[in-house]
Amino acid sequence: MGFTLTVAQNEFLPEAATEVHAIVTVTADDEPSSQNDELTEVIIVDVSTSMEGARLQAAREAAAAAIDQITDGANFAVIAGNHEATVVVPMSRSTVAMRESAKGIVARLHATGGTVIGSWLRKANELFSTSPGIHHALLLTDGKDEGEVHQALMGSIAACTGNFQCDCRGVGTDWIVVELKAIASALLGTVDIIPEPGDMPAEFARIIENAMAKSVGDVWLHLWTPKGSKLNYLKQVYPIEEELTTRGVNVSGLIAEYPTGAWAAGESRDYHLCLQVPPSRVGEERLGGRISISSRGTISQTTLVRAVWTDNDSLSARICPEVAHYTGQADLAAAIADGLDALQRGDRRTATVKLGAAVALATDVQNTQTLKLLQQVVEVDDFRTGTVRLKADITKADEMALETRRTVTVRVGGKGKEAR
Amino acid sequence: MNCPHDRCAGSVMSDGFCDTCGRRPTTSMRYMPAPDPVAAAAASPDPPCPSCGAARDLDALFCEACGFDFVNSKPPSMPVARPSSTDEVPMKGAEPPAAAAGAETVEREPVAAAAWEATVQSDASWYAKFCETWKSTHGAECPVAFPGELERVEPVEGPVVVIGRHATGIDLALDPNDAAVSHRHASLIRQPDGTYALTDLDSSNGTYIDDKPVAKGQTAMMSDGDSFTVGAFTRITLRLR
Repeated sequence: MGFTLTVAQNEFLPEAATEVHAIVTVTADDEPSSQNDELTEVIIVDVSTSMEGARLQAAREAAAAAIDQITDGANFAVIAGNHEATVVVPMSRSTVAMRESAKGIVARLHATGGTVIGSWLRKANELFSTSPGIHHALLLTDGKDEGEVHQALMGSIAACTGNFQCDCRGVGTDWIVVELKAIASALLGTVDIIPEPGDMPAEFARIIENAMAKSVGDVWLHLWTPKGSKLNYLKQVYPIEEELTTRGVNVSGLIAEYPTGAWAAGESRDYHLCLQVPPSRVGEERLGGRISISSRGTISQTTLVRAVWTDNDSLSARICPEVAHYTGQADLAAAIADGLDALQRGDRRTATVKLGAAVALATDVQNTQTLKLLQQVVEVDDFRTGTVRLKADITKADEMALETRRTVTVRVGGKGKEAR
Repeated sequence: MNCPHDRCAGSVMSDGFCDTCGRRPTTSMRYMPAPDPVAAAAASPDPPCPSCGAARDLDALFCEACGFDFVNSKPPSMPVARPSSTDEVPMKGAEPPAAAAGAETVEREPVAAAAWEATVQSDASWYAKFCETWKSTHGAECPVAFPGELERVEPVEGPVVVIGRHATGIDLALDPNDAAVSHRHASLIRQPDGTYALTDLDSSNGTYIDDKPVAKGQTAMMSDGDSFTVGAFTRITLRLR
């Protein structure tokens, strides 16, 4: 599968400026690849005691719905997780008969024991180690990680990094957002809240459908920067904000590669690149970087991030709309985090100011989904100025929805499908 | 194509930028956003030297063939009269070049079939001074190490001898390999009388005669036994063979 890269930037810098910003859009070819990578899926379902009742019943149905979406020929397994990880459906190749038998097994799951998420991840890692191709896991929990220190969970995450991608879902409001965010972020996945158990089957089916659409695994952003330049940061900014700066692997002195996981045909993502270049004289032009996509040992077409120093202020003062747009959304995500933080500390005054700023930013960048979530916690008097009042009865679920989805972005002009 | 920029050992890629320093080989006057590649290809190459017609780089300051000053659009300035025991011209001290040019014409006996050579050596006393200057201006130890006493002899012939790292004339990437020398550091330009005049090519670390820098746009006449220093430790002495 091929990739197309385009760059949006204002390449003109005033004298003495050394920071170059660019938004790089990477789009996978629409044509389905003639040679798709093999897919392996592991479904991890929380069966701790707290799941007992409606949640477990919904989880059984959700797991069955997920299994139904696994395409013929893909590999799959199911792990039941509590204080330990039990492989209830061993790794098998998907056929109609296999899926029916697996659904029979998950229908009989019962709840008992604690929640040690690290052990579930390690078990999944073990299962993936024997199968080739694209590795994807779906993790469901309703509680916080227990019975292991936080470092142990982080250690398990580190052991799995690069081996599989993991989408995490929390049901109810007793799970910890930062825990699932840590897992999803390191394992290039998404995290979201499922407030109502009844919504689980549809959500699971959607996640597996997405995972099955991936045709190329192990895709890397390939970045060359010149001698004397430095990468300030690299982040994915669409469909979800994700920091990539520290995940680079050096290929050579001037080239590093950053993991982006698996891609489906036609998929498109945006990256914000900020580079530090040496100061140069007016009239000089130099590259900030050459960017391409590396997958299956081949490098895609290369696109350039340029810097041209000029004494023409009307050129250097121009603001690149894409860069401004994503900078605004980064500010939006940060304002929400600050606002929720203040709310949890009981500082309603700061929370009002920060969430008000978030409303103004969300209005500005036309992120209607985030605006909708914000309106669950504040009454808006004026969208443009961000004049808001905190609601008296903010539910924990609304707070958690805002916390998990605050990094979900839209493209310029509010365009782009909502990605969750 | 090798990257023409100072202290860069990279080469220019098909996208028009160096694979190491990321610069364009010629970057001046490129103010237009995203130049149309077709129009760029159709554009005429860099204009030749207006004085002698030799090909030139757009970012060169002087013609390498005749020494024409592209920056100020004038022929090579008159040689600076330098105190020298072998110079028959009466001592004038270090007069500014313009005054020297206006005041008198330096008459020289044409040196019939003059054959020059240059002794290239690592000079510990110059290295000590360089390190001192480096420390006072950069606040750090000089990053170039002294290679020990090394010496070699190079012929000096042709209308222009470019001195620099990987340069065509005197290559200072060869021993004594001096990392403080620019790619195109200085050049020796043959005069009508067969002697050579020294000019600095806007090098990073300068060219010095008797510890004094050769200013931009100035040329200094070299006589038998005269020497100058470049980089961190390189002393070049010109001699008649």
